[in-house]
Amino acid sequence: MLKKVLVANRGEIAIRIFRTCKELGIRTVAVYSEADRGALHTRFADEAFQIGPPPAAESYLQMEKIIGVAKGSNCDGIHPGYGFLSENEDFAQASEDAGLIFVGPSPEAIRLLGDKIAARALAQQNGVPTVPGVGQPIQDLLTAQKAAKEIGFPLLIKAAAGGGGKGMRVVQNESELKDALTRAQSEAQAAFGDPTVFIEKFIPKAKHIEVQILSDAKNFLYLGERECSVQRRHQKLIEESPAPKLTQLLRDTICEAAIKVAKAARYKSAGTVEFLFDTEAQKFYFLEVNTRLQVEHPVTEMVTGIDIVKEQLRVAAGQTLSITQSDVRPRGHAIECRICAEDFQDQFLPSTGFIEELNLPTGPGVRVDQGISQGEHITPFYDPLMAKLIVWGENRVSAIERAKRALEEFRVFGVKTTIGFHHQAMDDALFRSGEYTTDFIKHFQPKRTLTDEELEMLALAAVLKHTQESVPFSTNSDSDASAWKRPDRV
Amino acid sequence: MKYLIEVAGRQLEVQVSRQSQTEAVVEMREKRQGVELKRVGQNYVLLLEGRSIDLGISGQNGQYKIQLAGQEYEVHVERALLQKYKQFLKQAQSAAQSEEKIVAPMPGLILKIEAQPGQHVQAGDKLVIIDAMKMENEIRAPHDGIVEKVAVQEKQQVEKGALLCSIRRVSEEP
Repeated sequence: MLKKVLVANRGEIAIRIFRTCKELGIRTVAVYSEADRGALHTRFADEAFQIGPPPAAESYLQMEKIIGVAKGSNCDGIHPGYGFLSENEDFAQASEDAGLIFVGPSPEAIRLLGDKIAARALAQQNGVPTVPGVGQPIQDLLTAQKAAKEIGFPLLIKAAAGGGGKGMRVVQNESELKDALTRAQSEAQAAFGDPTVFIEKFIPKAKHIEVQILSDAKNFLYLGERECSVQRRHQKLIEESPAPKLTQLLRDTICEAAIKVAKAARYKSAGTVEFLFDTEAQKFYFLEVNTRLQVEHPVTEMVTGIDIVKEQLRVAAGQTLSITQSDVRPRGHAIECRICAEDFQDQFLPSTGFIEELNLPTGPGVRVDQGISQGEHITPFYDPLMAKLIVWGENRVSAIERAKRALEEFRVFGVKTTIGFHHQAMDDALFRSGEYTTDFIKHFQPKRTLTDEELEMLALAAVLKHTQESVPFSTNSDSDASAWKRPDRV
Repeated sequence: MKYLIEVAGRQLEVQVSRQSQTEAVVEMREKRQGVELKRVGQNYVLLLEGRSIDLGISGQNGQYKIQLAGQEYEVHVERALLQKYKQFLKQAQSAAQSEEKIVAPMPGLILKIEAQPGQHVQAGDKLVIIDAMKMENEIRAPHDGIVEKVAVQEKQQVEKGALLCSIRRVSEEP
């Protein structure tokens, strides 16, 4: 097994990985930017080193610095987490060149699957259907217009090196094409250093279904699917497993398709094969492979009882997986709600600030992977994800009820959060029906009606708080007379 | 003392008579009751007859954020008399403003400025592009007008609500 692992990441995922490392007796090293000095993840590791100024490009994306810290602190492995350098083949290669074990797939697999255009072709070669589109790079408006004619509107521009919703734009008609292309290319350049985009048909009534895979290069396992259709800005907010409204036949077909792609790419480690399910045509299409641990991996851990990070670390250390396909027996239902510093009543815009108070939910079937603690600042430099709430229930309805209960216990003060959104989503008829699609949030109406009882409670709480702030109430009977002169006398 | 409470566009009048530091007798919707608000650790507990309610409260001076059963509400408390006075003042001041301030809807980095002072813009024209966490966001003109002032520079980090530029409506009269 590895002896000491550096996690080239921050926030909840760094902490998540440290936790498993600790359980396996692996020593841990954190890195942090100036903005994250003393942040929660740095306190979870045995050692912590500062690697640069707040912007990610000057800290968490600094390959040489990070590898230097890993070597300097005698690590034998690097875990990239998700985002940042996790899908960067150069980082995987540089780690290996420096004699470090990269906890993830090979640089070749990252390169092959990281190029969405190449991954599309790979899926097609292996008989896995892809979204109708033009599997060619688009460099300029002219080729984009040509592709648009071929595919028809609405269409989706995607970054070839994409991920995390960056460099992605839905285009409804010809007039939007030029601006959308410019923005997508610029975002792709900024995020991935590569402005290449391609164009696919936009499927309006689709479910996002993905398959968790695990491989030690000999054994290829699928750990079931997750549905992640509740998204804003092409980024997921709620994930669940199993996917509701998916027939067993379709589930098996999708899982097998995922394994086909993984085998073709000679994939090793944990990964996720993403699909789009067109609910109108009842067809599924391969989207892409995420060659890393995913934000929503705990959903699968909750239903399977398998520690995905532990298996990743085993495979990285040259061991085989500790389980076989027949050990994968999902039970019950799990739901994850991403708690982000965002204002859900104002287009989910990011909200920055100081975490004045933080109360995490507990109790049966509740897991919280948090990345922040009370007293910390949410800065504009990084992803707004603060914590993930994951609940388990014996079936979907009990998981939903449990999520609601836990969300009522979850309290954050200082920034706006998505807690209120999740709480309403759990009560939403469309979400509960399981028939929701990726446009769920677009049509979601935040409920603003208060019951009379709630209104009264809020009024009483506020008025009492307000009166308590004024002159302290005297209990000294001598001052009773003068109490009449106080400004707040009745 | 009488207070006016406003939550989510609804108003309520409450008559409060304090009994101790935490307790009061209140009259609301023709109902008189004894209530207590106690701080317990980081939380507050509102004690009513036959019910204890767990709440989160932040803020002060009449502006509060209260978290109740998974939702957060902004609650405004004001003495009834003061409120009336303010309303009167507001009405008196309601002169139409011809200049509109365009503010940053989110914290982020100014990527590009498309508007120049003195430039005529039409509703929907791009003014500023802000890079916020994951997206490039186009801030567009809400109406036709002339750009009066550009208050930011490219590569500048801005907070939510920071002034980006202002647009003066062009008078529609000939």
